[in-house]
Amino acid sequence: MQDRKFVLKVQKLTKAISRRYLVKDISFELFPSEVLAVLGKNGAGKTTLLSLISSRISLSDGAVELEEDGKKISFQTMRQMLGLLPHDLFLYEDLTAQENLAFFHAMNGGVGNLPEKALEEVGLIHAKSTLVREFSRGMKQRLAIARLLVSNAKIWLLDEPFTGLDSAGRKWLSNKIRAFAESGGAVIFSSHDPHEVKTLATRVIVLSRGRMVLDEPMSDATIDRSFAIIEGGAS
Amino acid sequence: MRAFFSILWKDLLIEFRTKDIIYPMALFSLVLLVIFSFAFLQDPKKAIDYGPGIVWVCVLFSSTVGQNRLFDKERENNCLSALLLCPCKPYTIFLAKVMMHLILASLVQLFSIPLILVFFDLSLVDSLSFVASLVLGNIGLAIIGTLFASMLTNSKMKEVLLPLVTYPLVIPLLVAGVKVSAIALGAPIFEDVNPWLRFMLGFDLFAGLLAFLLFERMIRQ
Repeated sequence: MQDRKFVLKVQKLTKAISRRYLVKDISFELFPSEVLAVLGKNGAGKTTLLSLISSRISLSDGAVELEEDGKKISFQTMRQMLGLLPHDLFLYEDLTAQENLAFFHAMNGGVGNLPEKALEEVGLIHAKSTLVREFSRGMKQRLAIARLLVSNAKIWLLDEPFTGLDSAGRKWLSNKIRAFAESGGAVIFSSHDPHEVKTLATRVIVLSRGRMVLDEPMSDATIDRSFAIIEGGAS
Repeated sequence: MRAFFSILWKDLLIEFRTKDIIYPMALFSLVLLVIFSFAFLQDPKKAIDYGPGIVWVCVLFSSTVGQNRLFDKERENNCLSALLLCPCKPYTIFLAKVMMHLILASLVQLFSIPLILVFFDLSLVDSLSFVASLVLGNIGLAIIGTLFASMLTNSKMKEVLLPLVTYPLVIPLLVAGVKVSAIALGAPIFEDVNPWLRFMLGFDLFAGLLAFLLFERMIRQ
């Protein structure tokens, strides 16, 4: 994917609204080929964390920095390197699949895969001229992944990416994420499913009430400990 | 520039398919025209007195209807967030939205204003000034309207709030527009149009500067 090495530095990330902390003091680093699973109960701060990293919402405190070959890169370039897949998918319902991708491809400066190729990769080439309004949730999810492919992002931020996908779609997405990481990209994804986390993640962090309570490399013991914390503690 | 044209193309394509903005704008202009023609056609000699006002009421109200819907498609699936995450300057989004509004307003006014002139038997004595006032007026309305429409995108009361916030701000522009139109339509006002047109140009430049400084902050609200 790329010759240069990057590191995403998340430093003391904090988001507070009306003196209530949504996330507080979260720090970690992410390197190429890592697949980081973010776990936690509903309301633990997973979506907020991904939104903060992507700069979709503003930070109350802390910093998100991206270094490439040891040099800090600009905020604008960092945005280009981060691809967010949120719950709301960021798709225009009144455009076709191809028009959506062509738009985001152009908005990202025309780098990344071409829309046709991305549609082929996500298995939607047959529906390229169909309005997104007519898509099922699973098809929209695939198209949203294609939106990441045309953006040329090096770090994918996926908020519960398996939502709405059937078993074939889940398998396809797992392979896609794995292939992306193997090619030098990095992925942060949130999930509630131990099986997905076990098969995909190389590292796990657990959030509880907006705080990071665990950050460990993937192992069976990590999975057990993570879900014990989640099931045992409050959000 | 690429981002500007991409957003504009996308908005035009969606509008071409849905007609969600242009139909209400055109319909609203037509309704106003019918109401005004019934209300004021009693005495055709007075048409020159209220004709310029009718032109600008149609321009203002149809603009507001359009501006209220300018960001509606960005709200679906939170596409506005996607736009703001793209590596383009936020004012590129603003400029594309202003241009989109100007295109739609021009299309509506291309049929509504000649209809007003015909219905009220008004004739232009200074077409250039008349057109200049419409161009400058529409630009000013588009800048102010788009700026506040972006801020109110997620507000449930935006239809009510947008005119409440923008109308007081655009009164000077409207007054100047009515003045220039009146002179251009041959009203017995012995004034030069140039100071009014310069004022409108100054208003647009000031509004543009204000929007440039405030848009990112306002849209991220």
